[in-house]
Amino acid sequence: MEYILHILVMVCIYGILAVSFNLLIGFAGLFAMAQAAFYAFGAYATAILTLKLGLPFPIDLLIGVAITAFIGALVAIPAIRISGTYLVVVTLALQVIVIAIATNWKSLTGGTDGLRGIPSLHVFGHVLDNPGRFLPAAILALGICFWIAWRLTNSPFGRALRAMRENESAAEAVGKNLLYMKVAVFAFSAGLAAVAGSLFARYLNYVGAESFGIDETIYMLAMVILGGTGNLWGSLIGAAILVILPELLKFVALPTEIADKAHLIIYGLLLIVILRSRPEGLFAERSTMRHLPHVGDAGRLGAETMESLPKGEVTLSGSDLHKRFGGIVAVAGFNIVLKSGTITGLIGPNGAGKTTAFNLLTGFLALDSGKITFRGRDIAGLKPHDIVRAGVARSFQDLRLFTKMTALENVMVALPNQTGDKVSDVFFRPMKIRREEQDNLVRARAVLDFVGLTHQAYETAENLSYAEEKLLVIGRLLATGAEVFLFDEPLSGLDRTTLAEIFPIVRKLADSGKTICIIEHNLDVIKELCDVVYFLDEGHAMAIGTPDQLMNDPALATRYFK
Amino acid sequence: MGLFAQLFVNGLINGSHYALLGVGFGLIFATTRIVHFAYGPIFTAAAYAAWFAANVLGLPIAAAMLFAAAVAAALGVITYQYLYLPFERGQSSSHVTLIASLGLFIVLENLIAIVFGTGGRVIDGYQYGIFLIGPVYFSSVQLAQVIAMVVLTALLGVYLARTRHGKAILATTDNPEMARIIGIDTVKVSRLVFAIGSAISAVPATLILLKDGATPSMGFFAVFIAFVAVIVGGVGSLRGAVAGGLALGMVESLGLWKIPTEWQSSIAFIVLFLVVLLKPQGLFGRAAS
Amino acid sequence: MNAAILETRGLAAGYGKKQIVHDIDLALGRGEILLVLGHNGAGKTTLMRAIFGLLKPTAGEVTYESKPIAGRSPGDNVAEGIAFVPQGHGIFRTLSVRDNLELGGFIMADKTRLPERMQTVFKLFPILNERQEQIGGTLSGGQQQMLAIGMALMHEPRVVILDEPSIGLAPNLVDRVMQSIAEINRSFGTSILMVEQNVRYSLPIASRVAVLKAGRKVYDGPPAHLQDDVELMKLF
Repeated sequence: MEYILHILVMVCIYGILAVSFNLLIGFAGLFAMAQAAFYAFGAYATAILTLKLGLPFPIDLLIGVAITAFIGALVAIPAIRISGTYLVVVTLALQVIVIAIATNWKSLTGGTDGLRGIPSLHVFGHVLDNPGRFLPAAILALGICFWIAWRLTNSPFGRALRAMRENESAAEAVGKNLLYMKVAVFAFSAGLAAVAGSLFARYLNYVGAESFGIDETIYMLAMVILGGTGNLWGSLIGAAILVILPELLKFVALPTEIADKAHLIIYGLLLIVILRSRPEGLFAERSTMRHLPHVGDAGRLGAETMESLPKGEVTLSGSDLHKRFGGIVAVAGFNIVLKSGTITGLIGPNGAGKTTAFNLLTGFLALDSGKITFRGRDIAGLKPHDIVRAGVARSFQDLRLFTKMTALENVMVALPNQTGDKVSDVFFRPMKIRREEQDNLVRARAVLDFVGLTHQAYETAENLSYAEEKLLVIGRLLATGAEVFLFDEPLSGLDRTTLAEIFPIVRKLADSGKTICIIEHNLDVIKELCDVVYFLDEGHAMAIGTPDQLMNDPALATRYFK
Repeated sequence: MGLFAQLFVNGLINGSHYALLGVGFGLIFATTRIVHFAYGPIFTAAAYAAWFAANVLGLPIAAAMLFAAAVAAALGVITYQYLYLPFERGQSSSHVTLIASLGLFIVLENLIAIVFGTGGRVIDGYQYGIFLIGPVYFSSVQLAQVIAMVVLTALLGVYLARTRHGKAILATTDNPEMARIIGIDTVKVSRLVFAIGSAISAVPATLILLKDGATPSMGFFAVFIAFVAVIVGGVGSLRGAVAGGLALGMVESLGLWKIPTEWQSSIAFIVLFLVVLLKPQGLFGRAAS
Repeated sequence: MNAAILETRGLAAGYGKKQIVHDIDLALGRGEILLVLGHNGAGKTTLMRAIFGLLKPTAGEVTYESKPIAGRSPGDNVAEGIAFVPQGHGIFRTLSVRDNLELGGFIMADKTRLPERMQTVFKLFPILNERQEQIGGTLSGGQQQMLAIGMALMHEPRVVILDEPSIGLAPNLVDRVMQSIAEINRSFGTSILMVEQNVRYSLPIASRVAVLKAGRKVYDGPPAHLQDDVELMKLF
């Protein structure tokens, strides 16, 4: 009985670890392989604070969680610059260094002997010094940690996290602050792992470096992958299976030393088998929203998204923009002035610098020199997400939809000023967020109505047709609520019928006072849609005029037009 | 001065070991883009294979090394064929392959530990020579580590630049799709680099066996240091892997001047941190296009 | 008219669940230049990749010299005389011009013919001769495109498939590249299948034109008729 209770305690501890790890790798797509190091920080914090400073519960836990969360947040900073493989390697290195510190800093950590005699928890006069007494505390801790992770992932913040996982630059382009999100999710993930570490220390009354090695991280990884990335319940079940399964091995008479190794072999094989046969894990990620609200008159794209500036006011202007890549001059002395209510076309041969110009205007590339202002405010040097929030949004030629999210979520994630984007508000202002979410649903629904995708609201973006994807790109951009929309080839590859449906949409946007700029190759589209056209070549505007003026310019005709 | 000379030579020796590990790993990584963590336990397996050949079969060291290279090459090719290739065919993300590789890593490492036991293994009765030049001391095995690195790297360089298969490897490294377009079978090329890269790892494995003996857990440090050497030096360049490995050995060794020995192995990881953060394309690599 | 050397019937292809080109019938006559026009997203590249075997067609047939080749590996197609010049980076950027050209002849059984083939390429593009030792990635855009075409010619293909050779080139270079393609067709009798967006420079060298729109063929016929077809020309 004691033995079974012990296993259940371990299931709780690993449940917390797997859930915390899933936040990072499942929801945020950040493959940081240092979870056991965060676990170690929590355990050592409790050990050191109780043994050396005699601090009582829950002070040790809180300090441990705070320190670990802080360290997690620090790890997020390299994660903003590097990704994929490099992040894996750097975090593995961190894991190794932490273990080296735990082993070598003898005065603090006890070195290879570890730290013994950590006091058990006391609750209401009871000492939790055996598995049976400890289990309720472990279950409570698991419940709280799970609830925190659940709130976090089922909030606008969680939605933004998944968007970031699907496509970082697109998440930035709808105004999400990647650094903030990475720091926050790392801090939470590390902090939750520290809770598990503290429990571990209190339960075993001992910590030693051997409990937190790289094998331990791989063990947690196996739990998350088995349960299903992006599914918190899956992580719990993955943890339960992987804690209980090896215990069954004990019934086979193996020498302990071999049995321990056999466990690890089983985890390894299990990892491979799951990845081969069911890479999404036992429980696949699920979309959180299931019902679409009715849109009353109030929900039509109304006031705040549609009514804008009076026509003809200068909104975005770039002057004397320069950008070179190595020896190649991409943009050289480009000037552009965009006005509200006006549709401006950018045309020019491939490589003329059109997309680079967009990247410069929206902060995705740093200027070599030049000036960019939005309604008189200097926005050069701002981060892309700040520029979106200021009111200048762009789309990408290669769409960059959040492919694993539904059309509705693609739009919702782009809505501006979401209280739930801030993690503190996720926990402290739940009612406000709930009200806002109802509102957001209505607004998103209205956007989908506007671009004619209501019937596909719950379809994942990857299953949409090409034309629907293009419409969703427009919808997502619209949802940002920006003043200025920069569309990079929004219409290419669409047939005439679809174009005929989209033209009025774009025109309506302009009529409502939005500023629109479109990169386009199709001269028909330009002629029909644009008020002003810039002809770009060799990185600057060779000519500016109405579509007819440009198309009748003999010099340009020989250069570009038929 | 004498201490400095000794540390310098130690750095050169360890650096050569790291460089060779990096060359084998880097060849695989640059060509296939697979983060082959199982390179570590395959390196370990090679050391045990050499131990088995020398101790149990009674083969001379050189033959044991060849035997180890054959075992490593076979394991490498099998890993590619039956683990990585199916993922590649299923168009899995690179993360999936990487996790699978970690999975194989712990499987192999623990399998080796079960088969050979966790205690270290040395070749019975093997004695290495000792050289003393001025104030500097080194052993015949250490000399062999440096020579092996120079010779193998040079041979590999010539092979890549001059032979048909070598050029196919370079072409695949440069642009796998273009390689397919001109008729190169990129799966065959991948098998080839897994064979060569793994076989190369058998040489440092055998030399480490002679120097320090073999333990089941030696693979982790090996693959890690190889990876660090490649990243520090710059992915996709033979010279980069060598330079990265040597730089790592030097920093580690000269660091001993100021840093206590037990921290020595952490130095590599700190170097990695700094390089990845400050110059992610590697010290000698070309910027990623 | 000669029997077609390369033909597709009902060809369909796409990525994942998404079908991009539908039901394409094309016939490249021996010694012809067949131009396939279409906008971005019309499915041109997908179609060429499906024909060459870089992408498995989801339906339909591809025949080469009356033999079915759909779904066959690019390697087999190269070996039997089809060459492919992909869009953009059709070269090995880290290798020298000479290495690139030699690799272009990778599947040639008779390596002694490499120098002779290289001379043929140099005659077509003398600049490559001057820059034999230069690293591919440091060539200008136009030179890179010439090198890419040169590589495709190394093994004396009977059919060359080109995916937007004009992309990213200045207009005068586009003209130069198109003229070279016409010359390859003329002097070596190589049949050419080319997709393009640049009507102005590509149309004059075409013997036959097909137009793709949203993944379907909407025109197939002589270039002159296309020019008369106001509605279609409006597409461009």
